[in-house]
Amino acid sequence: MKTAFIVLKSPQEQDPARAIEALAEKDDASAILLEDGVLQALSRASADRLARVCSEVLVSREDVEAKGFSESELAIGKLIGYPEIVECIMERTERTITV
Amino acid sequence: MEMAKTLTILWRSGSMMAMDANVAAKLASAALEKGYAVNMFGYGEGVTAVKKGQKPKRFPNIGEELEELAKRGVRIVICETCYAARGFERGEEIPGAKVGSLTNDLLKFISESDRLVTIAR
Repeated sequence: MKTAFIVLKSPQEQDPARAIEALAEKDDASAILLEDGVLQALSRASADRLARVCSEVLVSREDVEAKGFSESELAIGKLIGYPEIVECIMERTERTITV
Repeated sequence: MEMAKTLTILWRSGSMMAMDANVAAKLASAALEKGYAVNMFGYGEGVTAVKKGQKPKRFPNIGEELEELAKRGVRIVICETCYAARGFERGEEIPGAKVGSLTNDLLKFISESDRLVTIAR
């Protein structure tokens, strides 16, 4: 089942890859990183863990920029806004799980 | 005419905890703009986000954001048990928010929704 995984916590607080791997196949898994969760895309180690279990990583532009980072500093994923996050949740995936 | 898909957002963090309630509000706003119907349900500490008269000095005012969303058609309900447990009384919530229950309102929201998103830690 195509699943959107919402990640709100930093890599220092949580490794979301284990839960994602347990709940969906890689091809069906999209990660949406919000709040401190965007730090998961800025650290090489956590980016590598997400790359192993997700087919796409969507990173909140607002939260990355609020922390003083830019797209060029992402180790994985692409920056998106809330309209694209809603589209992923409502149209491209069948369920949403916050890990 | 095809019915609009419905999104329900369950949030559980308080008004001054992280930015979870604000993320929930932003998701709701973006979904409304895309033409979806939106429900929001506040649970646990999340109920503090609907307190009327919040005056944060350095944070967005989540009470005002939710009040605005209610005016735009978002159905906002909070858990009565959680509300009472924190000493709030009916009438202290922002206009447009309803004090309700998990068993009636949240179950109804979920049964009517195409997607459920939980914003919680």
